[in-house]
Amino acid sequence: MIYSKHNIFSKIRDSESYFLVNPLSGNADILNEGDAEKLEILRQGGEIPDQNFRDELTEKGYLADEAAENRLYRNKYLDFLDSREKDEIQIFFVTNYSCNFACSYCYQDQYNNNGSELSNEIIDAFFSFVLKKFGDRRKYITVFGGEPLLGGPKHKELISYFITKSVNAGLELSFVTNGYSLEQYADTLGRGKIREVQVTLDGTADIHNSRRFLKGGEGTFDRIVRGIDASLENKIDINLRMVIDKENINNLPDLARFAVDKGWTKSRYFKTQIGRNYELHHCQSAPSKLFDRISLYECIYELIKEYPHITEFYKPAYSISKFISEHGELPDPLFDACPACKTEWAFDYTGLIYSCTATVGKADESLGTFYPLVTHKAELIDQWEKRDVTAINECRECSVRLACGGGCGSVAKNRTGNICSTDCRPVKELLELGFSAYLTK
Amino acid sequence: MKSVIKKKEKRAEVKVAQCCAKTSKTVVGCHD
Repeated sequence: MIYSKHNIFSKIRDSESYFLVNPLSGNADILNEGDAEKLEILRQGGEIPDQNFRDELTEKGYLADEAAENRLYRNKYLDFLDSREKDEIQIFFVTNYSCNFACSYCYQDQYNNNGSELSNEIIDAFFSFVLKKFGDRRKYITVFGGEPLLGGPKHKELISYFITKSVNAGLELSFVTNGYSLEQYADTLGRGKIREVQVTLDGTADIHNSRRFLKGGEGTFDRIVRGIDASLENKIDINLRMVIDKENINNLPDLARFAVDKGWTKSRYFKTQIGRNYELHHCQSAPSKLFDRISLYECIYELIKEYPHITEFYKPAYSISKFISEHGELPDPLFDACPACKTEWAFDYTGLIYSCTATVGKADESLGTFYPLVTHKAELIDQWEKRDVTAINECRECSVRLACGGGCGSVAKNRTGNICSTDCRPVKELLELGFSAYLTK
Repeated sequence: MKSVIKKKEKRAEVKVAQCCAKTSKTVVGCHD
């Protein structure tokens, strides 16, 4: 028996205890210092006399027969592929790259609007393509931008037509919007089958308005709040996103309090997410204000200790910790964190096809066209489709690969030029926080 | 050693915890 290649073992933050997680065998345990010392001896290839402890480790897959573990790995991988084949596809459609906002950190600010415009003809071509290509798959559409809910009457007519087409196709819609025109779109959205609307507030009024303002500089907070209120009243699901960096992180307790006081957090139609402000495609003017992945969650962890009401608004996942806490079991092994060209595709109003939201709009990342002609760049699509932890060399010996899934293919490609390279997630460090937050109480 | 896994007669089907499934697939930023 050998120490499993999939063990993730470390000390729990603010505790004398340790955790041991094995995403392949599906076990997770908390160890006292004595057991942790014995485990460390085994990890380093030593022997211990405690047979009962060894038996328990073996039973849970922390000590494993190498050949048997490799068989289990292959079987779980086949299960993963089967499951993904049946999974729902999220299809993004970009109606325009233009926007009425001039957010201080926009990652699309260097995108070109090439002069072409959305039309009913392009919408028809999009639905025709989607129904043909993904005919036998479960799917839904997320309308994306730029800003897809712009205020002009012509644009509103196009969105209205898009919604009619989705209803006729029997497809649910989601929208990713800055929320500025949400109130005036309430009736239009009400005609569709809306799964949810994602809106962004970066803090309470002053903080938000200093980051997410109109092109003329005016604040946007009050209108977005009215749009959220109207949506919740109309039973439209709102997914509120807060984009965080070092300049607004300390406003998280205030935004959480605001949402609690508004009654939003009690609504079954309300949920939240945190987005990290980071450099996706190009450098930002003040990179020192950006968090790396683990430092953001360390900061949120400390803030929650001081302001526990934050968890009424937002509970961090800390990798798979929250999942274990809420389900009493591990998620299935994650052989691939990147949905691009597998369970996610993106299309835009110029007729181009892309792998995902990270690449959509970058013309050199296009994978083909759906309008005016249907074309495919088969070799590029194949690269995206084959990306998973079995295809990335650096992942093959990594103990956290089945919780990390290799990260994002687009970020990896921006970093190395190669889709099949790593975008590592700080799984062990996040579990240190997550076990402390959710699993030791 | 104390398990944090609940014992079950039969393991329920578990949704893969993809990075972008924290709240729902709509989230922008599954690349982070």
